[in-house]
Amino acid sequence: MNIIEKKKRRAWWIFLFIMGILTVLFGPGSLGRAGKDGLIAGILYFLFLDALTAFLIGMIPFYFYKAYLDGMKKEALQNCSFITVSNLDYYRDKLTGLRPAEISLLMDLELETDKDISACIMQYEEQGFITGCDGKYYKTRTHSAPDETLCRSDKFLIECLTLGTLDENIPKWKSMVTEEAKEKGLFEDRKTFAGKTTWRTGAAIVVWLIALIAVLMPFTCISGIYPDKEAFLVQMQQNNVPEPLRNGAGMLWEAGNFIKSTMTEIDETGDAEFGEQASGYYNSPAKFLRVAVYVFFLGAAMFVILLPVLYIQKRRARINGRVPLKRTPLGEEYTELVYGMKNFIHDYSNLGEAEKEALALWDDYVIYAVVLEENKKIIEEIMQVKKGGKS
Amino acid sequence: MMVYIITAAVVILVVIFVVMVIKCYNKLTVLKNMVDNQASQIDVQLKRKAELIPNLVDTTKGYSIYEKETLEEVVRLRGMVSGADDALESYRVDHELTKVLHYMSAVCEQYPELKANANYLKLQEELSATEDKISKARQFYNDVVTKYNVAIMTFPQSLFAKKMGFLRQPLLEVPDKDTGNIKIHF
Repeated sequence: MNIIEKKKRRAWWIFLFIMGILTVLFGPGSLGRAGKDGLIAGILYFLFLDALTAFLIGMIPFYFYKAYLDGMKKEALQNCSFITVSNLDYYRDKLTGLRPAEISLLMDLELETDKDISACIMQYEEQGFITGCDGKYYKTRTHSAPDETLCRSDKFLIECLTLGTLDENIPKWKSMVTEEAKEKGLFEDRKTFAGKTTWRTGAAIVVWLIALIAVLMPFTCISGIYPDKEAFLVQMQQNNVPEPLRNGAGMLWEAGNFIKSTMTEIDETGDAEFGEQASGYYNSPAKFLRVAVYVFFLGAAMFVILLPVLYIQKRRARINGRVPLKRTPLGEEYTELVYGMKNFIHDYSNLGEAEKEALALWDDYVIYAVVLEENKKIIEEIMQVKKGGKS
Repeated sequence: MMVYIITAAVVILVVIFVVMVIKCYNKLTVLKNMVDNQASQIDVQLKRKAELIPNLVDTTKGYSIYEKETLEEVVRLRGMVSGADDALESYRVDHELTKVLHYMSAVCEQYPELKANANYLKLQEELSATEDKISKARQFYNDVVTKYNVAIMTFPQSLFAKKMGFLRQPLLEVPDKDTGNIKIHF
């Protein structure tokens, strides 16, 4: 799993590779045309276009490769199963020390209240920390394991169960479990979710507006709003746009002009039909770069316009309770084992049909079956008991 | 025209039938391998248990608490477990061996000196853990055999299972008489 993750991180090299090829193919020619005087400007301009083209060309293989790696990861998780040479308790031994809730988090980065609390209740009962009777839970002194084996979240959950205050404390318990799992080094915060301050939102809006203006700038030339660069810069000056920004805007206008010149070369009168235009581009491979730049700005403009929608969608997902976590390399290793255990239970046992009483026979295998979504019967049974105690 | 339609229909039916047979065969092969896998798990644990016995015998030998016949019986049964042709045979012999070991353990209870021997205690602990694993392996074996047996008895596998050599497998059961008192006759 970690190898796949590593490959995913290295997928970005596709862009560098393409950039390298383009530099070798077109670099000397372009720089030769730039001449000695405009060498630095020429290099910068070439690098800018080189990066853009590499980005556009590389996007397709990049996403295909990423999709392929995601598929590999999924397949690897599905095929994590029992190895004949391994000891029967291989997965159980490896997962010793992980709480049911942590296993659940490792599986899908989410805590599902009913399932995870049912698994925890079963484990506390098995270890003898609590006992359930008439829908209520009582602390017992028969536990074989010392109290130190319990984490803060376990002690808190036991308190809530025995005092009957679980429902209002579920969010607190979830956050305690998450914190403990992070302390164990299984998870880290997702960068995109870090920080909630208002200034970040404000800064994001400002950046978005600048990005929107930037990606739309070339279209002032392409669409003919400002066919002349001087007129364009004068207009900017009249609007009190500071000089550095004016220069940047000028470069973007140039990019638009660069694209438009290609269009004009192929379709001078503007009457050419689509087929003629396509044929024009097809017969002039050198113009592909210009097409790439055009497509980039078009795509970038659409992306920037859609950004708020994507943000709202992500925010909604966050509000709906998605845990903003990411597995660490250690977490990935454990996830592999967790799926191995899940597949082992699924393939080699009928624990999906087991009832709560099977705990005596199967020990913690039943708890794993519950937390790994292999047995829903027991969850319903425990939740029924819990609700029965309330009424 | 009619001939073509009938031919096409027959070809499609034959293809569907062949695909179905292949799928059934593959499914049963996977399950059969899983049964063998679990049987080998039992075997692994039984061999592990058999490996512990010489050490246990050596540890208790110095105290001269058993009759010679008891030790000979243990060694004989251990040899049978190790030399059994398959896991299920080992499991059946192990049953006898377990009874003798329980008897030995009960005798040891009367010797406080032996009970305090760290080596003996460690061996007992390992034996107990291995027996627990054997019991778990048996449970998994029975579950997977149940899955396999259900598969060969249900449609459409039931049509071809026997012809393809997939036969019902017996479950491993703990005989009822085990629940009674242990009696050793030599």
